[in-house]
Amino acid sequence: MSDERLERPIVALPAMPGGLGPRRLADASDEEVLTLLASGSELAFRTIWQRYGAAVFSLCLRRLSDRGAAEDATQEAFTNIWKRAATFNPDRGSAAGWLFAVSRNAAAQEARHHRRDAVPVAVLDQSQAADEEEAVTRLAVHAALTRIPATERAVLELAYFDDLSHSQIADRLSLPLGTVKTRIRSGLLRLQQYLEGARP
Amino acid sequence: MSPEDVEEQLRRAGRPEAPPEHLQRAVLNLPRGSSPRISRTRVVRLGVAAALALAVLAGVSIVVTRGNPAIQPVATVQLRNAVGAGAEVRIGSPNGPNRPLELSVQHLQPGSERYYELWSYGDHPPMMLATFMTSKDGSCTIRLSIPRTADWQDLVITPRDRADQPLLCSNHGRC
Repeated sequence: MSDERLERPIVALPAMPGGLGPRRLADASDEEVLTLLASGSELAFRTIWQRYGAAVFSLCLRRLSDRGAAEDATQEAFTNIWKRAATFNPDRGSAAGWLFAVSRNAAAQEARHHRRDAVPVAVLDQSQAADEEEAVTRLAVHAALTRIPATERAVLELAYFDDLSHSQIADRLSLPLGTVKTRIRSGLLRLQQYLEGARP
Repeated sequence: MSPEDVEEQLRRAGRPEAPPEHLQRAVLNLPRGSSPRISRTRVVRLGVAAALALAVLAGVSIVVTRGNPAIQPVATVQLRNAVGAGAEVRIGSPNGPNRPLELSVQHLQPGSERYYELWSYGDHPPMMLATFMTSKDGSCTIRLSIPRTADWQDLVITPRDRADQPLLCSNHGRC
């Protein structure tokens, strides 16, 4: 998935429901995109996929430990996202939280289908609730990463996922050390902005 | 939330797993009313059956295609860009709730076999009408049905998944 697409206007939409007006869809918050999706917008659906596709697939894979089952669960989750976007209520929680709930339920259904241990859904004790909260955060972080420029995302991934030092990243990407530091700083700030916007 | 919090969340989140291409295709087709999810086992069986059927029908399809007359157009729309590629869309009369449409593309990024999408930008929000592929010389002809009420005057061809990058446009101001 390219983020260049998200940097540019996806298409000029002169009269978008939800008060989006002619803004770039890529700039819209997850909540705004879900609201637009509820009106049947395919572009909004694609935007949600671009932002959350990898995150939902990762969540399902983590819960099911089977790539095929995770693919089925992801497809089921996005089927429900498409059909039930109208049930999302921003007053009751964040878009990431709603998308997590839909994805978790799809994974649980897939687990039951394969007679694996069902994922706890209804009653959560304290540790399970903490796990759920962390999973929502993980989903939001992965989604936010898709919205920052590729140049910044690349250095953040090397720094925080691959644990490389700034100097190692500079060597790896043939960039001046200062550029690496600048991109990490600006990438973190952008992520912070998106994550704060995503908090319930 | 501080930058340190973001760093911590990044570390804890870990690298996401990229979904496979076929899953992306399946999911992005969901809004177009694709059939309900089919289990992977069934997909494999269907794939084998489809491959056999295709092998049997390959020669027949060539004959049928050659013998099948083009649709009788009630309108023709030209799509162009600045570098000589072009396409023609022939619009047929409505048949029930839909109408036939034939798209012929020439010299569209020759040398590569890529996926493209045909969009109606005259509909709000824009409506994707078809996904197709060209041969290596950048040409292809496809036939499809579109809703009879869909706009067919403001058409755009984009690379697949790049709705913001028009390659061929009937409204030349867009390309």
